[in-house]
Formats: sequence, C-alpha cells, structure tokens
Amino acid sequence: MAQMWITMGPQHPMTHGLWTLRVKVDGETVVDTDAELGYIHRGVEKIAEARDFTQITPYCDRLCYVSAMTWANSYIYAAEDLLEVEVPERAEYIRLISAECQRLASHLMWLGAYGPDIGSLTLMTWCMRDREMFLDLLQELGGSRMHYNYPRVGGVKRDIPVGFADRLVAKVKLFEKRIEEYEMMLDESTIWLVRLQGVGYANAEDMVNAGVSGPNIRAAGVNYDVRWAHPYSVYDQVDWEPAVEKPTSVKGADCYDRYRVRMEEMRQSCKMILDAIERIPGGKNTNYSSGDEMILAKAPTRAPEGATGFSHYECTRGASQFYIQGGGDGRGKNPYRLSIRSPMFITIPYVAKTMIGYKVADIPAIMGSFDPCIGETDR
Amino acid sequence: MPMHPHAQPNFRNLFWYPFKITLITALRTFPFIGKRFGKRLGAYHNTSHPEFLDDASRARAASSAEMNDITRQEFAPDRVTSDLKPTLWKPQTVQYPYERLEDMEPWLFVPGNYNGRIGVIWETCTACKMCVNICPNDCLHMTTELRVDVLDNAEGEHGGLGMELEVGKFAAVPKEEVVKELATFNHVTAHQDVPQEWRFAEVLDLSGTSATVRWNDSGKESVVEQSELRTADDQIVSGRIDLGRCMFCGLCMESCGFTSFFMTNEYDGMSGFTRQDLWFDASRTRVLPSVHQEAVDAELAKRASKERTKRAKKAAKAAAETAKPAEAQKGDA
Amino acid sequence: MDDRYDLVGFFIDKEGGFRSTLMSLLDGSPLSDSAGSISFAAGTFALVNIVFLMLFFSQFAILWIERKAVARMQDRYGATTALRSLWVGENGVTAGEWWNMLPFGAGKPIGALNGWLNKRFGNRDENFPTVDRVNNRSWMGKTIFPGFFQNVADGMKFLVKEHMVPQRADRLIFEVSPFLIVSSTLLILGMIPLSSGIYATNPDLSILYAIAIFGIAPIGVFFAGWSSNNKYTLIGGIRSAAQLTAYEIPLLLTLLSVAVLSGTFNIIDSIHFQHSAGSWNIFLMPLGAALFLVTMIAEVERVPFDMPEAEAELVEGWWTEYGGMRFGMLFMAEYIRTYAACFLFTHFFLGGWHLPFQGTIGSIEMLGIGSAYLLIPGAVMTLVKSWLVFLIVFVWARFALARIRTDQILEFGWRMLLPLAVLQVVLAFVYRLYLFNPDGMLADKNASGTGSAWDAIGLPAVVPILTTLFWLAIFVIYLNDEDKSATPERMFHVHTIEPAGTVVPGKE
Repeated sequence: MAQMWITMGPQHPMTHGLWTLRVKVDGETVVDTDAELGYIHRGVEKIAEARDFTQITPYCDRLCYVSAMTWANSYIYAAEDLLEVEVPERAEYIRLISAECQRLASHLMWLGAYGPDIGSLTLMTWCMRDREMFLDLLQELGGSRMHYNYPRVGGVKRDIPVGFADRLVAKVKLFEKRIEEYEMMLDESTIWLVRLQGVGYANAEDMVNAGVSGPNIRAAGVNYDVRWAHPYSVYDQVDWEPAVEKPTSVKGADCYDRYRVRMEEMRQSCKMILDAIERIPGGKNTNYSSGDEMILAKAPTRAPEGATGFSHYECTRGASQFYIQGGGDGRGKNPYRLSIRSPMFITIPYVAKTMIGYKVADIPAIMGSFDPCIGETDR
Repeated sequence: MPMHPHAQPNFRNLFWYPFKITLITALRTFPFIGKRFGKRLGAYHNTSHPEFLDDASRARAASSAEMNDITRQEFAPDRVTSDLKPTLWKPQTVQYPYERLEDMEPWLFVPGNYNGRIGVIWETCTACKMCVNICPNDCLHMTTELRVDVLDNAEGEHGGLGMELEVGKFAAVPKEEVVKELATFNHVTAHQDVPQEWRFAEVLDLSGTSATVRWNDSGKESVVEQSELRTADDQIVSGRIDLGRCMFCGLCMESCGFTSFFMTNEYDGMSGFTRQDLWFDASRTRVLPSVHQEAVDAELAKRASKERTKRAKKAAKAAAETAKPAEAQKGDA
Repeated sequence: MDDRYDLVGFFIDKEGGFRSTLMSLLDGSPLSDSAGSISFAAGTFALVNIVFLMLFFSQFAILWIERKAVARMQDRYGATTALRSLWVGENGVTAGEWWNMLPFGAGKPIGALNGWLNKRFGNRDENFPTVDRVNNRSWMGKTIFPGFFQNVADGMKFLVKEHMVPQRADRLIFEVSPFLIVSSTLLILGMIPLSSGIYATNPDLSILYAIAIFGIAPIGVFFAGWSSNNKYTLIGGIRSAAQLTAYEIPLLLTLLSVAVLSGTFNIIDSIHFQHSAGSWNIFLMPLGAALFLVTMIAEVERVPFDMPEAEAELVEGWWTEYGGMRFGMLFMAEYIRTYAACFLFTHFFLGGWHLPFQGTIGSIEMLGIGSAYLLIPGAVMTLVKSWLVFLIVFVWARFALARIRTDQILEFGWRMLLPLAVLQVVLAFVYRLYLFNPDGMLADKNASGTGSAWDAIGLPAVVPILTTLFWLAIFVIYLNDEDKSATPERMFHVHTIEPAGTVVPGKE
C-alpha cells in the first residue's frame, strides 16, 4: 500500500501549541516525520533590543507562558550577570520558591494536556483543579496568574505577603496527597501503562548528542540537572535531589519513564518549597516593603559596550540559556543583542525522529511525553 | 528512581484503581457523602481551611474589604457565596458570577499586589511622564483637559487660594442637579461615566463684579456674577490608556513616584465590543471614592500650604520693595 | 410473567380498545368493508409512534445522566442551564426572538406567551439587560433538572451549522453513509420491547435481527471514512472497520449462548424463560455478561475503545468532514446504539421488565404488598435498569479509563475475547443439556412465582448461586493475585520497524 503524508497541525487538538507535524505513514506505522515551527514567532529577541532591562522582563514571561516565572528568572540572572549585581539572599529564596511553584503548575498543565491525549479525559479537570492552588499562590505573590513580571534586576519586585507561608505550606502538603491520587488513577491503570510503556524509546547517548536536556534526559538515566550540576540561586542550600529515572530497557527511556520523572520532580519541588520557606533569611512571616535592601539590591541600569551576561538555568522543560550583550541604544540602557536558547527548540526536531517506527496512535503519546511548549520554541 | 511499585499491567490495575478513584472523587462532591470520604483526600475550594487563614490575613482582608468590595455592584446578580454553607462539600467549581473568588479566599487580590485595571488620581499627577516612558508597549498617552483644579474649587480653610479669573481663560459653573446626583453616585457600580458637574465657559470680559462669558456648550454669551464662577484651567494633565495594548505588567505603577498611578484590584468590567471601547480615558480610570478623596484632600492641603507660602513670600517681597524706596527717601532726606 | 400494562393488546388486538372503537365508529360508513384493515393500520401507526417516541425521548435522560455523572467524577458541576432559558428572549439582540421573523405577524401570540412566561417564571432584572441573560441561563433561583435541556439545545444547534460536502469527496457515498448508519440504528429501536405489552414489533428471531442490524453500521462507517477524501477519516474508517469486525464475533457468540440457554431466539421469550426458570441470566452466565458489555463498548466506539474517532490524533476520525445535522445525527446515532446496547443487556441478562424477586414479593398477600409491588409498570423497570447499566458500565468506564491503541484493541479482541466467548458457548451448551430441569419451568407465562428449573440436589437456585460464586471467586483471585517480584510481562506486544535510537540522522 502506498505511503502517505498526513499533516497534523497547525490547528490540531494534539499538538500542544501551534506547529505542524507532518508524518508519513505506511498503514498505521510512521515511516518519516517533518516538523514545521515558527507559527508564533514574535521576535522577542529583536524587541528586546529596543527595551530597557526592566522592560524586557514581561516579555520573557511570555516566552513560555505555561512556565512564566522560570523564564523571567532565567533572563534576570543574565541581566544581573551583565550589570554585575549582587542579589540579597532573601530574594534568592523567594525566587526559588516562586520558580518551584511555577514548576509544579507547569507540570500539572503538562499532565492535564497529556491525559486527554492518551484518552483519560478526567485527568484534564483534575489537573486544572490542582493547578489553581498554585496559581492562587503565584497571584498573591506576583500580581497575576500567568504573567507576573515579578523578578527585578537585583532582587524581586515585592516581598512575600504576611500569611503567605502558612498557605504555601498547607497547599503543598495537600498537593502531596493529591499526587498519590493521580498515581492511583494512572500508574495503577493497565490501559495507561500499555499505552506508555514500550513506546517512544529515546537513547541517552542520542539525546545528549542532540542537545536535549531537562526531564527528558533524566528519564534516560543521565543525571544532569542544571540546579544540581551548576547550582545557581540557593539550590545548593535546600534539601532536594534531582529526579533521575533508570530506564528498564537498554533501548532507552520510554514515555512511561518520562512521565515518572515529572511526577517525581513534582514531589521534589514540594520538598524544596517546604524546606526553603523554613530557611528563608528574615523569617517567613515578615514582609519588607518593596525596594527594601533585603529583597532588592541597587542595580545600575546601563551596561557598557563589550559587557556580556550569561545565564544557565533549569527551566521546566530543559536547560535554558540567555546571552546578553551590552552597549545598545540609549548609551547602554538597552541590550545590543539578547539571545535565547530554548530547550524545546532543540528537542522537537529530535522528538520528530523518535516517532519513526511506531504507530499513528503513539504520536500524541510520544509528543506529549516530551512536553513541548511552542511559545519558547518560536520565541 | 524505580518504577511505581504497582505499575504493572495486570488484571487488578485494569479494573480496580481507576474505578475506585473516580468513584471517590464523584462521591466527594455530594454533601454529607463528601464529608465521609473527603477528609482523606482534601478539597480546596468550597471547603473550610482554617490553616489558610490567619489573623494577619483576616485583618488585611477586613481593611481591604472596601477596596475589594464589589458586593455593592448592582450589575451583578446578588452574590450568593459559599460562606453560607462552609462545611458542605461541593465540586471544586466556583460558580462565577454568583460565587466570587474574593469571597472564598479573602486573602487574594491584596491591594497593591494585584495587577488589575489601571486607576489614576489625576489631581495628584505631576505630569512627569515616567509612566509613559517605562511602558514597554506604548499604551499610555498624556493629554490635557479642561477641568476645575482642586485649589480653585476649595472652600473653607483652603479657599481663596486659587487662580484669578482672566480674560481669555476659562471659567466654570457647577451644575446643581449633577452635584446632587454625585452625592450618591458610585462609579464602581454604575458602569457608566461620571456625569460632568461643571459647565464650562470662556471669559470674554471682566468688569466690576460681573463677567461676560461665552458658554462652551451653546456658544451663547451671557453675563454672570464673578462670585458664581470658578476658574477652570485647560492645561490640567489628563490621559488615555489603551487597555487593548496593556499587558498589566505593573511597571507604570512602580515608576510613579508620586503615588498617583495604581493598579486596582478589578479584574472584570474592562470589556467592550470594539477596540475603541478599550481606550480608557480619564473618567474610566477612577479609583475607589474613599481612596480618591483621601489623596485629593492631601494634595489640596499640600498645594494650599505651598500657595500660602508663595503669597506670603510675595507679600513680604512687596513690603520690602515699598519699604526700600521709603527708606531711600528717608535716607535721602 | 407478562406485564399488566399491555399497549400492544390495546392497539393491535381486534378486541382491544383502540381497534374495536375505531371499527365501531366506521360501522355503517362507506368504509365499513375495510374497517378491519384501516383500524389495523391506524393501530399499528399509533403504537409504533408511541413506542418510538418513548424510546427516543427517554434517551435525553441518559444524555443528562452522562453529563452530570462525568462532571461529578471530574469534580465539577456539569451543565447547569435552567429550564427557564428556553423561553427567555434576548432583548432583540440575537435570533433568540425568532418569532418576530415569522411572516404575517404569526409570531405575535408566541411573543406574548414568552412575555407572560418571563414575567411569571423568569428571574429577571430589568435594570441590567446583561445580568438578565446570565440570570436566566443559569441555575440561580428555582430550577428543575438543571442542565437537562442542554442536550436538546446542543442538538438544535446542529441544525443551524453549515452543512457541507468536501469538493473532491465521493458525493453519493458521502451522503448515503449517514443514512445507513442512522437508519440501521433506528431500526434497532423498532424491535426493543419496553415490556411484554409495549413494543413496536416482535419478530420471532429478534436476537438474530438485533445482531444483524448492529452489524450494518460498520459498512456505513467505512463508507464515510473512505468517501470524505481526507486522510484522517480514511485512517479512522479503516480502524473502525477492523475494530467493529473484530468485536462482532465475540458478541455474536455471546448472544448465541444466551439463545442456547434460553432456548429461543426471541427477546420476549427469553425474558419469559428467565422468569419461568427462576433466575436472571446474569447469574447463570456472568462471563457472558462481562463479555457482552466489553464487546458492546467496542461496538459503539466509546472510550476505552474509541480509537476510530480519537480526538487526539484524528480530530474526529471518520466524522471529521460532516457538519450540521448530519454530524448531529451521527452523534445521536452513537448514543442510540449505546442505549440500545443497554436495553439489550437488560433484556438478555437482567430479566427485562421483571421487578427483582417479582415472583416472591408479588405473592405476599400481607398488607397488599404483593399487589402493590406488581403495580409498578414493567416499562419503568426496564428503563431504570438500562439507565443504571449505562451509568455504571458505559459512563464510568469512559471516564475512568484511557484509550487503548488500535492494534492493542484488535489483539485483545481476537486473542482474549474470542476464546472466552467460545468457552461461554460451550458452558451454555453444558448448562442447557445437563443442568437444566425442564420440569421446573412454569407452564403459564402469567403465573406469579418463579420456576425452579435451576434447582439441583433438592436445593433451590443452586446452579445460579454456585455459578455466581465461582466466577466471583475467580474475579477476586485475579484481582489480588500479584506477583510482586516478577518482571512486568507486557500484555500486548509492540512491534516496531526500527526502534528509535538506532536511526542515525543523515544516514538513513
């Protein structure tokens, strides 16, 4: 029977974003794939050349909108490297807490989209319900549910509100029980297992060669987590460990392994948050006013030509890097060049090749297990 | 990290766990049954969480109750909140607009923390343009409008410090019926612009205690007593905000050093059918009346004292001027 | 035992109320020669319509049950539109006030009625027109069955949607296949009895007829998939054809075992058999009941077997290119087939219209309990049983489980279900030949009390009780049997051409 190309996307319920995946099928088996990206390219890097360093932060929130806080943090570390600012420790703790809350929210969003891909429609609503808890926390802290514009060069915009710590701890503990509920629904369900196990094998060596990072390689046994390997912020002071899954097959990590890694990462994030809120310098119930030196250090606003700043950060989906060159317009108020390395941009072409050899029905399973977010891919 | 201990595709996992957990979730949404099964797997909305509330947040919620208080908005149906039935277990859905999130979680929308609709107190704005410059999206526009300044409208202890009427400049007369209406007008609930309480006119001639004015609305001229007129200035700062472009990042609020620019806690009420509806002009950027009044009073006191100091200095200088020739005269003689 | 409410007798029998009245009316008129045929035609017409409408409108109940049950399982409320929203106007904003568009002002009385209803029952707030609309749509205030008419509204919405045929689609087949699917589905409704006296038609071989009609739809599905000129629908249609074919055979064998056990191919007679012999079939053949349910879920293409229309990959599978009421009718047809499957399960395994322990309780003379119990209409019992089957089996399975992949579905059908179905047939033969006691059958269909055909060793109802306990024991043992140290042996085998990791980019 002849082979045919099927176009999945740009408008398709499965694609987790706006892109096209063309697959060549022979009956039900995938023989070749071709990915087309760029539908939501907004030119963030170019826009940044005309904005101050403070004004760029809201744009970075919108890179990966599901995981906004981590991307804003990632950019801010690069700006702080460029402007040579020392960040107070309380601000680092607050950044850690907000980033881990965001990681939880992002992983829940992933799961809520992945469930319906496999067919478990109930999961979508459950994940949204639990994500609300963390969105409310981030709303109290940052001022809105999705695009917070919270970190500032030299610290954070405002301190944690009084009483935030109690609510944070209570919600995180509630969520830890909820993870068990999810595992009851999924890990202890035959149909979920037969859909995910044995599907989408991805070899550790191939992935490292291709540049994939994040939970995807940790599922294959590679112990590389930027927070663990090159600790930034206060990740070396809180009690946690990276979630690395040793795959059961020599062929590499299958979808089930990647799913397990993210569930364990959620547990680790809960652990981190509970530890960080106890250790935060200045106390968890004090509230310093905005601009206080405990949470925001004075920072220069101009960077001379020739200065560069670089950050290497563990975003939810992999390792993101920002590279800023100073000396742009306004005598250095704007960057000359802002370059963003998006983990998903590297991963998606690799994933497209992973799907070869499996069935059409496995395409959403494999795609979803790599957790694509096209916002950061297209920038 | 090993696989989940029960993660084996066998007969048990086919029938037992997914059915059990969906049954528990469903039963938990019904009252009384929910209480039996609900304790094990806690719920979030529609349940009571004493650990979430503490004295500080209760105090803050109480102090911000007026700022957050959209209960008195008559455009929404009467608010039925779950406060009435705090211990019944229900599905996690918050039935907006009957149940509103700020009732269920009063610690949300903390004033100053939430990036809601923009609110500007124009009386205290000094037109420094910091907000316009910091906005990443160019959505703020500064203009001028014809208005009666606070100082010109003051009575009582701060009265008489305003500008004088001048030919070629503007004056205004209060509209009595509008002033009466404004006493009970609540811009938060009315969902329409505040009615204009002044009738503006251009001063053509001043003679004695009367002034000849040409009214702006009709173009006709008439003679009015000067005591009835207030000075109006057409260079008072005003502005427009394009909410269609605004990304609610809050940078404008931070940059305003004179605390005239706020982001209120309102998250709804900003919709329209056309893009032009989203251009909010000055009347739609009002903050809550109490906050507004407080700021205006403070500004009035500040400007009045500044004006008094200025006039005292001028009077002293004039006295010094008249004293000098007298002295010179005295000195000469 | 026959149900006391006998519509068939009323409409069809020559001495029944309807026909005799009609014939006596036509007596003496020029039509008196053919009075018999006319009354027969009228009686049949009336009966068929009544039964069909009863079945069709009771379906809205299961649509509502599904939406609300799903919502509760997902920790939310579900559709809460109020009944009031049917008569609320939109203040002239949209076509909600459709009566104004009727010619010659014919809509004025409707408008007046609408206004009166609004005044009397509405939840209005004249000051704020927008609030008005929200108030009247929703569940605030008094509501009856919130969300019940949402499905009706959804159905009506399909009427106003665009109805298109893709340009290079095979037009004739494209338009014919919905007819095939929907008409065959409605034919099933024709022969489902609601009780012994309420049915449209009762052919002698209705079991065979049921399975045959169920089998027409796969052809329509395949036609739809092929003719749409769309790769998604093609894949969906092929998957569907394979899946439905694979699951027809265990279904057929299960129904064969029911027929063998009951000794008849007629649905109503098999229910009489269940009563006269003393036990419902589910207790005699639990394996068959489980097989029937699983194969029926696959036949109607619901999760976990809904690969052919899997949203995630195929958008809507073979339904993709249909719009407007065609799509609505296809959607409805899926639910009608599900409903028909519930009815068939009720009739074959749960004793149809018989109340539980009808014979025993029905013969209690004390306090008139027996006769009061027997007053409950059998049709109500059938409906309630079907709804419960729908809720517990179809809805719950849909929202607790995920989708199984096509090749896994086929493997499951051919390798697991088919042997079990064959086993069930063999067991049915054994039961009928060796364990069945014809002397224990009640001769008179109307006798109260249940028979004792399944007694053995002098003890009542030994065969069903032992059978049930045996299969329950197997179920429990399987449920708890978990060898924790064994390596997970995959139930289904995944074959790939070349697994990932072996392909080197650039060197294919």
